[in-house]
Amino acid sequence: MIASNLLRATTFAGVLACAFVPLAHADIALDGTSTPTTYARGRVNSFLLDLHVVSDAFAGVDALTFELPPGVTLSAVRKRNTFTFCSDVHPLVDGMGTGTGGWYQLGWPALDGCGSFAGSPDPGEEQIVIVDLDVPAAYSGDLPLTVHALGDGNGDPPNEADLVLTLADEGAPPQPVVATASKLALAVDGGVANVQVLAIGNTGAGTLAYTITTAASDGVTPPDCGVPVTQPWLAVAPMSGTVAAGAHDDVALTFDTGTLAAGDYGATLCIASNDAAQPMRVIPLGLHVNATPCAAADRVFANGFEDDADGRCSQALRTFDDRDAFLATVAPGYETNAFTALRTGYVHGPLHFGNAYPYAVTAGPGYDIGDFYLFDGAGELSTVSPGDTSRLTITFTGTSVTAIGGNVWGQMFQNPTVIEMNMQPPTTIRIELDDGTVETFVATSQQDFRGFVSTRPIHAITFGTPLPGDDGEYVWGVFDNLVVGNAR
Amino acid sequence: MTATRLPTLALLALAASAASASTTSRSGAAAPRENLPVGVLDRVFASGSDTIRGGSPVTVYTDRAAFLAALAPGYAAHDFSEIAPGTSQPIEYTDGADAWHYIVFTGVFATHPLYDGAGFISTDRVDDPISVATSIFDPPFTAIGANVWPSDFSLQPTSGQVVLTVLMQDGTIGASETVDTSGPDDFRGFVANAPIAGLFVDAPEIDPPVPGESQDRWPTLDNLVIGSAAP
Repeated sequence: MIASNLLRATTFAGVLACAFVPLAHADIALDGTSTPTTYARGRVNSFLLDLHVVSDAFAGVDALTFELPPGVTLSAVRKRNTFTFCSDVHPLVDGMGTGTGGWYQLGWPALDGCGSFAGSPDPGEEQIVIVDLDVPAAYSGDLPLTVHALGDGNGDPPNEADLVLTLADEGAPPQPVVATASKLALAVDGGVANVQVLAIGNTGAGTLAYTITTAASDGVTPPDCGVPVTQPWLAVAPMSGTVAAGAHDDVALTFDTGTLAAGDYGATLCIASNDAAQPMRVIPLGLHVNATPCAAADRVFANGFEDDADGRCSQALRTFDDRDAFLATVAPGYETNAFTALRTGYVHGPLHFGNAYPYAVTAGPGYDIGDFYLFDGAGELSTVSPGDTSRLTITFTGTSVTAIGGNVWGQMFQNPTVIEMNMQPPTTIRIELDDGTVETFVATSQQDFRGFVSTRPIHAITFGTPLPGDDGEYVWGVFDNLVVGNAR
Repeated sequence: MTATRLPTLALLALAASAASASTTSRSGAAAPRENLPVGVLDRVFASGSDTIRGGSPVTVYTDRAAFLAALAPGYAAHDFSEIAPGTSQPIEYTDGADAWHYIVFTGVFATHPLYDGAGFISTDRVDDPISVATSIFDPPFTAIGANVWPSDFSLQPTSGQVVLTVLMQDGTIGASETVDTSGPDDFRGFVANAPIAGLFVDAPEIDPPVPGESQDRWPTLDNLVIGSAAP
């Protein structure tokens, strides 16, 4: 009885004690997920992290940083929303181009204050960041991405929290993948036979088996590869073949303008293959027969023939929507630029980049305060404002360039009507080369790619987003991960 | 720490205002020298022809050797060889023996970081100055000098000017010097007979702009020396 009463009393006292001991209010805790959860080797990968930064003490985060294994570097960090930050409107972005970096409180002379990111999001408020990681080709296996939140010390321990997101190695695709140009345009004189080589590569595994047919194209109606149409001015050889993993076939496209009048002609190349993701690749072919003969009076070209095989009086332009296929046609020695860790803010152009292939980038329209506005950590070039006249132009200032490509998309850095930043809505992209070639497409993410390989030098290329979105708002047109070089 | 920050901030706020006044605007030329108080500057050139500071508050040196010869032993020198390229927070230097303590940053009202090259200092934002400052609670220094030049977007040395402003701890401007630079070897040193609060380096944009060239210029600094005037 005494023991029982003692037990009850002890239990009551314990409950009472618990009721009056202050609950610990942890300074910071961190959880979250990544989309996607895999990475590709040898390129800049973008990950959308849905974080849950929570402080029981209603405190903030002085630093939100990322740590990567050796060899992997941060290319860009962007916030999708405000994280309801408090006093520190401009947190410092540091460490881009290295394996450790992110957002730090700018606080001078030391970290203090309420923190750059709130640890008490409103109900339903997302805490999303976009992290671009540059993964070298030699890296393989799991890639641990450590997210580190440094609390501001206003709560109880723990004052720091780590989240490790393990990104899996995509490795090589397990099945064949067809890699080729997405479009080919040729301008040539009448009365000649011009041969263009179209490379069909296999960037996957196993053996790629392909068969080529041709279909009609009027430039308006979607081509129907189910109805083969032979064009008298176009010959394709071989019409079928197999390609080992990592290799490519050269398919000869012979354009015979002997009987063609000056003007524009079109056809469609239909490549059926055992690429499960793209069993049919549809490649528009454009042929322009010049009204005015080539200026060269002597039609015997340097190759000793009169077939314009050396291209002196023709221009062929291949367009690519796949980086791997593009790179397969670029000669070694090309240069890339991820525009990582640039100075920020309002900047006047031109901005100069490149070593072996120097180029200047200009932005328009220009303002007294600057032509560009470069966001902290964004890792890309962008104009001051979006609009139908906003554009970025690359002008090559040195060595001849015949190959250029990069990721191109629409970036809504900020929108006056919504809280989200750095959204990537479907955006009509307009790209114009200095020869008047225009490529227009709708980009849906920063993974969208366009590359151009020409038989003649490309002197300039302009990017713009001339059309507003469905909400009437214009979006910034940006490019990144630029590749500059020459065709093989 | 809080106690030391407030006076420093107040002083540097004065400095920021002073620096702005001395450089007019980014689109304009530096303030004409005749606007400065008479007798403030006593220039000592590489020839060393003027070696007496006399009653002038600040002596300006264009030659590093002559400047160093005017310092007492024990001065601090930084070649920033440990600095990695890219953005950085304020860089604090102290010798641990309470002889020197100062901070390199962009300025009180500048909310953006430094943006450094490999072994030298610059700023992220084009309108921010480089500030080298101490507080009235730190050991006083009376001499400061550095190589200064304008750099372009890619941190490459380029043409243009840099404007240096020396703020004294009593809140007055000790010197304002505009340098038509020829590159990273350009040096300016200042020796005073009163405590210096800080040095502010700005790089005005070129005006008028040169076609095909950005008019933006970023202040850039290296080989900093801080010390005391030789007795």
